[in-house]
Amino acid sequence: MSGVTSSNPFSLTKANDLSDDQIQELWVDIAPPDSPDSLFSAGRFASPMPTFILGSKGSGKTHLMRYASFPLQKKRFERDELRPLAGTQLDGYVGIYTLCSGLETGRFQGKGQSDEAWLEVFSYYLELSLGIAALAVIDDLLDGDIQDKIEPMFCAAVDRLFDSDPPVTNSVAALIDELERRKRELDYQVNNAAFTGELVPNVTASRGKLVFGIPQAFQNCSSDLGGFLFAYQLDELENLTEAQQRHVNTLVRDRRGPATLKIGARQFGIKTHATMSAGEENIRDSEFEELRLDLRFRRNEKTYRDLVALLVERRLQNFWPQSSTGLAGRGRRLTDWFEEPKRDPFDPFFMKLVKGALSSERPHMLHLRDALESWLPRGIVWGVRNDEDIQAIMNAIAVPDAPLLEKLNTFLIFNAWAKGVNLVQTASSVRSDCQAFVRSKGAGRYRQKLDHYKSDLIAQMFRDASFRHNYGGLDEFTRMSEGQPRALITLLKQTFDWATFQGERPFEAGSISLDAESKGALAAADWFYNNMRKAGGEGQAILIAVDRLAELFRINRFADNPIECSLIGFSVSARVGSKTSQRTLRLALDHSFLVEILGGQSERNSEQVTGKFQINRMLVPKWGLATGRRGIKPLSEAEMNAVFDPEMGEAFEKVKADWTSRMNAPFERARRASKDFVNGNAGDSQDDLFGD
Amino acid sequence: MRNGPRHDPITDELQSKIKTLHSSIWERRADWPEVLDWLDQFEEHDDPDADEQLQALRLLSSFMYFGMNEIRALLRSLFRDTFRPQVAKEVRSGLHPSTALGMIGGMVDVELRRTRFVSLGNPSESSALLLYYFRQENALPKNLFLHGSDIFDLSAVGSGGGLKVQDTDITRYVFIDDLCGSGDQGREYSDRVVRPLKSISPGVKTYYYPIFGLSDGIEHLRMHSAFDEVYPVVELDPTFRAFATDSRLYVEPKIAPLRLPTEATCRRYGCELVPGHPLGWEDGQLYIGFAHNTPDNSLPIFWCDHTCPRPWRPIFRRYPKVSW
Repeated sequence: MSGVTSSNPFSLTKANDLSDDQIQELWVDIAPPDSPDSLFSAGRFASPMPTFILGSKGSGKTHLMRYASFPLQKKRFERDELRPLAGTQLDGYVGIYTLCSGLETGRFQGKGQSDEAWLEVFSYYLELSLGIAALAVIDDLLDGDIQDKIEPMFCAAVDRLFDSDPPVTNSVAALIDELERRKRELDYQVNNAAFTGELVPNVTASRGKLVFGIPQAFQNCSSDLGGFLFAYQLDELENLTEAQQRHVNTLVRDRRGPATLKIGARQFGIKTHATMSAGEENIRDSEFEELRLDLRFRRNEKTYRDLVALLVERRLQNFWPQSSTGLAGRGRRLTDWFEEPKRDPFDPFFMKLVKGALSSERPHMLHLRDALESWLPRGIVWGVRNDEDIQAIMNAIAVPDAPLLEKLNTFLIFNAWAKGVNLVQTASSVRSDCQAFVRSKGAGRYRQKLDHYKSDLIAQMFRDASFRHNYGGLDEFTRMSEGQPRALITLLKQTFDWATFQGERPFEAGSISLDAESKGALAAADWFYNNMRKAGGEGQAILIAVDRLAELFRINRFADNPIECSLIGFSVSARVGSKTSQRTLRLALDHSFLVEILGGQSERNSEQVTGKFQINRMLVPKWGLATGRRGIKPLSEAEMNAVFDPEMGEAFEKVKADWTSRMNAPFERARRASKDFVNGNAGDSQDDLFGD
Repeated sequence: MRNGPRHDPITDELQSKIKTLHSSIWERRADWPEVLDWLDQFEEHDDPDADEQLQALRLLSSFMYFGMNEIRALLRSLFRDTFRPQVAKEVRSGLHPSTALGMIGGMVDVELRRTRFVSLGNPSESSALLLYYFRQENALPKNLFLHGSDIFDLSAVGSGGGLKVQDTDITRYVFIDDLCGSGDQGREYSDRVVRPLKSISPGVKTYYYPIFGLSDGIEHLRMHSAFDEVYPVVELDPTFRAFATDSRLYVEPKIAPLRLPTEATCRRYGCELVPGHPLGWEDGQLYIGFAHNTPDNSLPIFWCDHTCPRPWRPIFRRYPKVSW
């Protein structure tokens, strides 16, 4: 790829850092651009209805918008040997891309001026900025004879859009110069307002006059100039203040003529839908449409998997030509380049994990025996009267050739213990279920338990063996990226770095080792997590909350009897929790530390009262948690506050003690701590935190 | 070495640090297979405190490598922040305090034209290479540079005349080096070149400017050499010696107990590698290396190679001065 020399094909992760050529060459879609299923179509750039393109950080908003912008359109026109005007008419729109952060909106406040004055100044500044951008596009569209014919007429029409001091020019270039001059003058006043104490701009055009008037004036000049829309693409709207967003909303509401707005923003970056039109609010599907990119990906896993596979291929083609994984002549599937974690209970790997020890000497068997022997004298081991009974249990559940199944058997004994069931009888039925499974490998109760708890059981075996927990495989990385392509690129970037450092040749020879993948996943998690440290007090609150949540989930994952399998999710009623804890929960969602779980009652904007959330799977390697969510733990009000209110450290310790006590032998329910805790936090009637 | 699935938080942390160093400051000089290859020469032990490989890995993670960019930046600093201000100071000392700055600047430039930058030792050695970069970085004309042997005019020697200075207009000679360790090499040069020079031209000033200098070596030169001015760009105080009692590598209370066992390990291997100087030339105990070479004042476990009494695989190779 032009101008790029990199030792890692995934080193560029942000669309803002890519050149126009790179945006074009790295673009992938899930369907042809004219198909309604394509991402490109979903942006609805040629539709007059304004669109909000929403998504979390790294979900691909900027890439999509820049791909749809005029500089990239022009490249495609050149490729297709089309003149810009003809190409634009074919596309049905021209994309005028503007980054809100580029407007440096923080300048438009304070300095001894009123909010109203700043809003007017910002409004005029945006008018000039977008007007200049539209004129620049028009300058490009007018080429050849048509320019001489149209320009004077067009310039005269633009002059009439001004309330005062119309720029008297007869060329688009001169118009641009004049508007640039006015913008610079305004910049000067804004920047110096703190020193001069004055803000006396000469506002020469009303709101929307240039933004909507220039496209209209252009198309009024000739019928040959019609047939397409001016799509103003405002990216990173979250950088605008609420008042500034209200101004943009007003433009959305007042949209007219051959112009529209396509607005990119972080999912929770929309501060208001209110307008300045008598306080009216814009209504979705009435004044605007919404495209939620990562939601779209998360709703359709297959589509997302296909998309990321294409995305990785494209990266390799462009940045790693030495890879033999190119679409043409590729010898193996993309997934084959990644070593997968071992999951088959009969894989010899599990025998290595227990260092080939005899059943009776394996850590999980020793742990169970130790627990049974310790609690037997207190009479709280159901159905076990003496050491012979213990030995009978241990003999029944031993599986010398398949340590993972044996581990499952110990879990089933603990599970029965927690339920108060006779353990000797349980051991006998576990033995027969296990033997049946070994014989047939078929479906059934035993198989179901294995599938459900496998991840937690393997994690426990890894911990017993002091092995690093494994994360790996393209499918797992795709799942971890939670519908955010940038997250996947970050995972691959870190993995690639680790693999090459360790002497591997990723995408050239062999497979990327699980070791490199796991270290890459951990490095990506650390990067994601540590970024939040920069976010000040709010960031700290999020980190504390997510750390606490992860700590609880770890208690569950490494417990004798986890109450939920692969627990990384929780549900909580919308009415539950203090203001502080609700705010922290929302902040954690805003910053993608938590992710809403889709489906059923989870929709945030729906009328449902219970929300379901999970830790962003990009983060889970930090705590050795599972990437495949299964269980969801309902949180009581007390638990919600203890986790999400940073000041509730003491209460959190009690919750931890409660969870630990409930999930580990001898499964005493920590009645005193639980009752003290629950009763001490008014209004929580959920006596049993787990229910039955 | 504990490579593979086994999770050892300390090794992981050190490996992660080395990976970052490798891909940034170390200019990709030590990837993990090379590190493992190097570590394999040490013994592994189940007890982490007695594990030589872990000791070596920890030392390696503190290795200070200065790539070409850093060396060039230091050479800029040598001229801009060390030598030029010194000349300005000397010029000002002979002027009335009211003298305009512009005039002083002009006089400094005149003095600079009467200065010569000289490499230490043989032209094939690192000092000559540094002078090349020094000239580039500070945009200096090449006539300001010469080799030590060009200081003197030997034409009359042997025909009854004595040693003379080649260019009597020169008032300052600046000797540039990469590292002053014990100061031995500088002193030897002082005896061989600077003292004869001063004996025939007592008025000239001589400066010895190494990029790095150990405090003891610098002090030794100031006391026992003929240089008028000895000043390193970066002074390495005794805490930079790996196993000094106040070594900066073992400040953390958790790590402090590892200092003596690690020293014993380095000494044990060092005795086999460089019998006379097991912890580096004149007990340097440094852990420093440059893009162009690793100084012998650094621990031999880092730089020794197959030419040593015990064949060794270095991690930051030293290219020794070979004698024929």
